[in-house]
Amino acid sequence: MRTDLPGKLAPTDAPLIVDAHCHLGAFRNFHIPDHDIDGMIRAMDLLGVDVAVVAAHAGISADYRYGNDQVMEAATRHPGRVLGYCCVNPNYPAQVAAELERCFAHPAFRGVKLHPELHGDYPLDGPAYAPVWEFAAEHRVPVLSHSYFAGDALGVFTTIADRYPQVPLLLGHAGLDYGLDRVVAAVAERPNIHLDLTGPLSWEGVVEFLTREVGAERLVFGSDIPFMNAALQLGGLVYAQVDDAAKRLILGGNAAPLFGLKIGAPA
Amino acid sequence: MRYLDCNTFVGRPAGRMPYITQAVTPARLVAELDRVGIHEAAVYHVLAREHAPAAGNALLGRELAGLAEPERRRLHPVGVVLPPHTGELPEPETLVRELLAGGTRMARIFPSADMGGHRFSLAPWCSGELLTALERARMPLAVDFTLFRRGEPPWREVYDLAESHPDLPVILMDIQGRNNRTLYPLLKRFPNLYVQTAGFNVHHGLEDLCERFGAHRAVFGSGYPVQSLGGARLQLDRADLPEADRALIAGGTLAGLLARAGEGIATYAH
Repeated sequence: MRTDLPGKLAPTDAPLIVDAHCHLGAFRNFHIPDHDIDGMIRAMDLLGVDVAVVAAHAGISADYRYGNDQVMEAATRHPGRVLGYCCVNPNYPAQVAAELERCFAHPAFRGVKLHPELHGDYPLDGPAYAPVWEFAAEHRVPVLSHSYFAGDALGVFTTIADRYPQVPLLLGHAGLDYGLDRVVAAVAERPNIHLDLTGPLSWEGVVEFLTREVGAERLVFGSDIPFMNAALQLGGLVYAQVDDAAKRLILGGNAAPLFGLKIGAPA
Repeated sequence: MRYLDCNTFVGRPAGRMPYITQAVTPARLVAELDRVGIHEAAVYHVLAREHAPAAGNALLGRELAGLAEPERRRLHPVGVVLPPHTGELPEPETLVRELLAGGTRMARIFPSADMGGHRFSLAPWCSGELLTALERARMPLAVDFTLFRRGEPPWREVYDLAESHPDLPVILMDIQGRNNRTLYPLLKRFPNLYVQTAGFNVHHGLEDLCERFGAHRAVFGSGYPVQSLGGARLQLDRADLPEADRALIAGGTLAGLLARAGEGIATYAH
């Protein structure tokens, strides 16, 4: 363990860094060192990340209640540093609405995380997810959904965005597997779609391309910590060749209103 | 802290998802190294990967020769190699001698059978002579399985490679973030295995690897220009490791391996 803590030293010296795509805890498919909330906070402190918005690994697999409880505990242990995504499982359709109510009774929960791939590829526009979209529309709660090569087509995201224009829809991984040029075309006219940069950030040139094509105000920093290494993601952003104002928006300025944060104020 | 990136290329790649593709000349690579604060890089030519090793290696030599001398010294050429049986490259002893004579002290292979690879076996009956020649020269070998992000290396081949050639430094370029359960017993058993940093996309991964096996087993690399040089730098800069460990990873270990390549083989010119 190092004795210095670089944190907010350049190039991670932005006033607010919000990691809008985080997990928590063990994941069945592979070993993750120090995956508990203390290990995550340590990594955040090394990187200058202020706030993590967390969906527990248990929440996106088995089981959603156990995972949401883990998030509540983490937020209590690290007040102001940890916010939560409520995870629901469409394969338990009768419990979806009740779990949303249970989560959002806790002030740390600020969004909903959907992970169709790990819930049997249940389609985002299927009836069991309808309570999520309706809840999110009523309460203007951001919804982050995973995307990947074998999941819902890009058109499903745009259809939902059109049907629920009040819902801030975070397109997970910026729709990387659809090809970013297609994503640009799909989201250009839909201001409620925000691109979660988790994953694409490690690709050279992505920040420059998306900033140019859709504007920095549509982009949100995420790392997938502890599923992946957060520094590899953050470095792709802070070293990108876009101006500082764009970086500050992507690092936290765009996420702050989505998740009810104010720069300099506790979460 | 002196950074030596073991994983860069130049040239005009065909491109792939997510369709962010750029051609990079040696001069542009040097400019990017300067921008991010990286001192040196080991570099192969993408033509050697995506077209033909002989053509790409030759083009790399010509393109690097076009750089002014201060910049030229910062880029270490990497030769992409194949087993000899099809005659596409010289016999291994000759190949290694030619590489060293041309100033190349590191080799790279792409053995995978997918469309991104060169499709050959690492088994002794196929790659044994090549690997033995590289081992005799102590030439570091970058092994790139061109894995999809969820992929898994062919562990049996890695095992055989490391076991059969204990004096060959083998750098696993793309071990990915999901393979510790099988990687760790190999690292424990074979001290000649090294892990490229940006290809090891693991939360607290460098810290865990260094604690178990020592900082000398990780080698700084980025994957630029496909992957972000800045991401690789921040991964190492902000690792929860003492400065001495970070310095070893940043360049100390690879510089030592490159310096020893060809040592003790009198017939190899430097």
